[in-house]
Amino acid sequence: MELAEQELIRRAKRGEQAALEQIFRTHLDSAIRLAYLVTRNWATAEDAVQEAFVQAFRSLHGFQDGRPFKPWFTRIVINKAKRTKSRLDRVHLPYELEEEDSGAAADPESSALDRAGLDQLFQAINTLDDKYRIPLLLKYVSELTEAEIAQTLRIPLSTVKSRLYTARQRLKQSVAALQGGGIDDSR
Amino acid sequence: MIPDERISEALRTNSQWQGSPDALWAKVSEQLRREPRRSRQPLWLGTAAAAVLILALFAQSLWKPQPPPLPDVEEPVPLRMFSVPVPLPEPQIVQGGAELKLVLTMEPGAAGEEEGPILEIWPEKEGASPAILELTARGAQLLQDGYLMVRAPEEPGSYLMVVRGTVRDRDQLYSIYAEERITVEAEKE
Repeated sequence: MELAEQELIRRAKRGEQAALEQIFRTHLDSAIRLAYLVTRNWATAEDAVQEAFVQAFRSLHGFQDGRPFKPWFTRIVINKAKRTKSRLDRVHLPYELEEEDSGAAADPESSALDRAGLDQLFQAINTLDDKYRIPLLLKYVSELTEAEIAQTLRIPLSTVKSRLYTARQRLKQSVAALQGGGIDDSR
Repeated sequence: MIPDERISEALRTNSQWQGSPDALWAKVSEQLRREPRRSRQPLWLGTAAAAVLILALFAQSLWKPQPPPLPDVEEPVPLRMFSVPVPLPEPQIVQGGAELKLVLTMEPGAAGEEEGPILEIWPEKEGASPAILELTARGAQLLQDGYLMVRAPEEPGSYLMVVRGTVRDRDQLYSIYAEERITVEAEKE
């Protein structure tokens, strides 16, 4: 863990608002994207992330110095997001991935093709079972190492490696199926 | 295989948050500020509320079946446990091609979980692909022996060797697992 983060956590434990806010701003982006990709709804993701920060900051006194904050906090985000989603699923609220507007394209034609490819890949990621999807999100959204993913999900490192490997294999097959043929491995 | 950057990009372009960090921080800090006020509530109020809650839960358990537990990422873990890192076993240091004994743990498997068994040899670096060896034909022997003898890779480096999967024996399904971290030493000149 970086010295700067350790120092921030020490200050946050003393209740310094500026330190808490800095931790919040450092981890907000990946936390909210992760929560959204788990819940598939922005409002729910915001609620989950808000609850996660509050719980993390209230539990900070028990957080051991020298440990990396991100895997610990990511675990809280995942659990909050899963619980919120499951609570809302039970009252049958519709869950749809919201339309994303990625902005105007510089070269409309090639960008549209590229965008279509990314959308297909995203669609394939969303068809993965959570067992494979969550480790994938932790790797590519939260940017955790495989060891940190193992720590976050409390599963053996070999299981993380295996699930990530299987996830990538399945993505390759799904994208090929969506494209109706072979895929270009050189990309 | 799909490149890592492509997966990151697909996820990034499809999860652009349009909300306000300031507004969300305002909500979080407001909630944090409210905490001390709650702790100033009289002690008897908390005790009374707990008693009512226990009574209500007791009454509910008499009249209604227990609801299913909330689904979770993996098994729920108390926050306190995060202060303890998951220990990785120390790697066994071996010569290239050395014979290793992987002792299997076995437990009854669940229907619908049948796969393998396989031996995976993972080079210990991020995103590495494994060498995979099918062990299906040796399933019954694995159950009988309780271990698998394997040869370490010749190439120096660190590896994680995993045996996993299921074996069927007389209508009973068994799940088997073994894991060993090894470091193959470079040959001394």
